[in-house]
Amino acid sequence: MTDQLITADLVDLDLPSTSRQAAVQALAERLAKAGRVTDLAQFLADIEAREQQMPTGLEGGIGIPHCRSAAVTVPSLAFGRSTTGVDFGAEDGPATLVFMIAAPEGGNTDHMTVLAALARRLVRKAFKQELHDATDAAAVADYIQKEVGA
Amino acid sequence: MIVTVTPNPSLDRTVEVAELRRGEVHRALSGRLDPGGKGVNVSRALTRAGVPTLAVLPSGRAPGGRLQGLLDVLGVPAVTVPIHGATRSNITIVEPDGTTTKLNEAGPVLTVEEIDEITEQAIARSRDASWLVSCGSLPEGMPVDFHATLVRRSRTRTAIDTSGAPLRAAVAAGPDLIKPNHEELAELVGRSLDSLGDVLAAARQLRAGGVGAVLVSLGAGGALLVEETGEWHAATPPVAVRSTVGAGDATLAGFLAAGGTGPDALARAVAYGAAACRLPGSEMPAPHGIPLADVHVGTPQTELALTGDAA
Repeated sequence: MTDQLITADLVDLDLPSTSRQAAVQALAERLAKAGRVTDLAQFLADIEAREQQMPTGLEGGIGIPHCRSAAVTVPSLAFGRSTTGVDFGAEDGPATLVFMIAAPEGGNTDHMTVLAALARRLVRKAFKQELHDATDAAAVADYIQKEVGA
Repeated sequence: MIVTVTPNPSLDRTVEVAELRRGEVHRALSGRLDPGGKGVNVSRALTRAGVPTLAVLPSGRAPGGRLQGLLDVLGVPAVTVPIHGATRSNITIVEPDGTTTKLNEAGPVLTVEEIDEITEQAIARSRDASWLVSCGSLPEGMPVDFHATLVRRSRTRTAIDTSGAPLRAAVAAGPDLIKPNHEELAELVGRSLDSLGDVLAAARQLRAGGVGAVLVSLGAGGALLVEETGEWHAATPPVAVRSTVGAGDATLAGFLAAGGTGPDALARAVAYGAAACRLPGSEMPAPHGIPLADVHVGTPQTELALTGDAA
């Protein structure tokens, strides 16, 4: 695969954590700045609509806000890390690792099927530890791309 | 109409206790009774989806009667073949920390006449059906070619979801569709399948051997469909899992409910599997709980790792 799902500018190692909306907004702005999202308001509305349908929090401090949106130009993954945690509705507490998945409406989503890899990584302690310990956004982007990208 | 066959159904009782201690009397905190069996689960999911279905199953003694009663309550139409032995009862004991202890009965031994009657009912009832779906393990004494016989005799399309020797026999009969999971497929082809490319190769090999279509459920890895008109992989973002029991059955039901062919049916299959994972026990998802928009379908990325530490 040639296109990168995630790059250094899509990594926020100090994610705003006052609310879920603040955290989502910060990651979405990174996607917009990178030109991967064209209409920020539309994208945020689509993310929120999906979250309302069913919370995206997983056990073990993980949040996976995601949506398929006409505002997305290219399949993308943004990552944020929070020290205090952000509530994504998981039963066991707030999320410290947040993966935002942005998929374009319709069309070819070949890239997105690699999400299957993310599920497997998330149950691995070493994967989460690496993300918790990382100090460099570029290294995190490379690491996630290598682990998840096929 | 989709006809399902469950040769070895069960009456599943789940009991919750504070702590299980050998040799002591426990007071149950809660208890529930569910119908069990893969074909039965497929019919339950189809019923919830509003797709006409009929479940064919043997039913013996009091547990058989209870099972029938539970299907009645769920509105699942069933044809039961009376048998002399008792339908098996399975007990699951759940403790608050998630520890699960299972006590499964071996199940009844069916007579040749009883087995024939199940086969005859399945063939007769599926004459005008769109699919004949035969699923699950076989009770003691049932020949391993039970599913295979249905495939050979059926006048409609056949889908088989089983494992081990019964799956091997069924595959040799050339069913229209099989739905193995990752482990069942690996056992069938006799080698480990570490990447999506390996799974793809195994599915192609089965198609070359006469199977119409292969739908492989890959757990958190989504599902792969290999059929005449194409090959697709579908997956969802990770979901919060409460119980994977029956998720494979929901996957097959979703696929059949959406027409049983092509990428859209695959997407529905994966959405159903994900929805079933979010529900307790073997509860089957209802249409409003199906996150279809979450599913992404694409060309299989052969290098995607599926097992081991690299996965």
